Amino acid sequence: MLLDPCPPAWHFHEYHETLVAAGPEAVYQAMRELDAGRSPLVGPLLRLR
Amino acid sequence: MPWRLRLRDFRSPGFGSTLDDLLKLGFVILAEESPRELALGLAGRFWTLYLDLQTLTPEGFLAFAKPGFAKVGANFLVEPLGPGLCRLSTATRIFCLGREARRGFRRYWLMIRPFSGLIRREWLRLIRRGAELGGGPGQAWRPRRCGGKRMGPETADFFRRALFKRRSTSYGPRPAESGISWAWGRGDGPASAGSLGIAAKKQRKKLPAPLAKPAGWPYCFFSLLALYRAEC
Repeated sequence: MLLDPCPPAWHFHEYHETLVAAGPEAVYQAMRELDAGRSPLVGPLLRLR
Repeated sequence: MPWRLRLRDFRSPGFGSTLDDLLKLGFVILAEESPRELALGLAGRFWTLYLDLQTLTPEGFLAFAKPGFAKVGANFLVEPLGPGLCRLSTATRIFCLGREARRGFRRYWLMIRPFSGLIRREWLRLIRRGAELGGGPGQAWRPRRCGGKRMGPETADFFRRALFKRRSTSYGPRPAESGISWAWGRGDGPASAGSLGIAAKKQRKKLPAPLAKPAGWPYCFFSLLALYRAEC
């Protein structure tokens, strides 16, 4: 995993996963184009944070 | 209305919501392997008021070791499981540089972790819907009409049925068709007595309510909630 060396050790962590019924290219493109700020849930949470 | 303006401001894009916004905030792309993984990094003192976010290069992030700071590494990983099926995961790892940083981050983490998890789960959900619908994640949250292009007729029909519980789907002959339209009253007519009246009562039992009757409010509430979740 590309994340392994950065950082190699950690004090806190979290992990989430989901299954997607699509090909890796579509998933990756969706990830690159993600605009979560328009979500009524994420936008306010990001601002509060 | 000020609260409406504030709400609109909350929903406005450009606050760490896209990858570009994250990079503007101080995140740095540590590594990328398209279409498999994207790793991001950020260093700062997140538990303080001003965050003290550091602007670093990927090499600078790896070498960064200033005491009192914390380094965050996060990734999105796409693992193909089969034709048309992938596992999408996101991991976040925090390394604290020094005891003070660890203490400070622990307090911050206790407070922020539930919301952080919520944001990440929502990210995954938006990406999943964007990928599955094939319209990009920007369209994933937008409400769509029942029976529209994105929602298939079967799904739309399911929600229609959930919102309006029909008594029966098979309709008997209408009063006008059966020739006993005058017997549709509440028994105050010539048809309330006699053979025609009895026939009308029998007929009435077979006839369901012609219009969809709204179900109880809890049913409607949870159906609307399900509809909202399905459309977002």
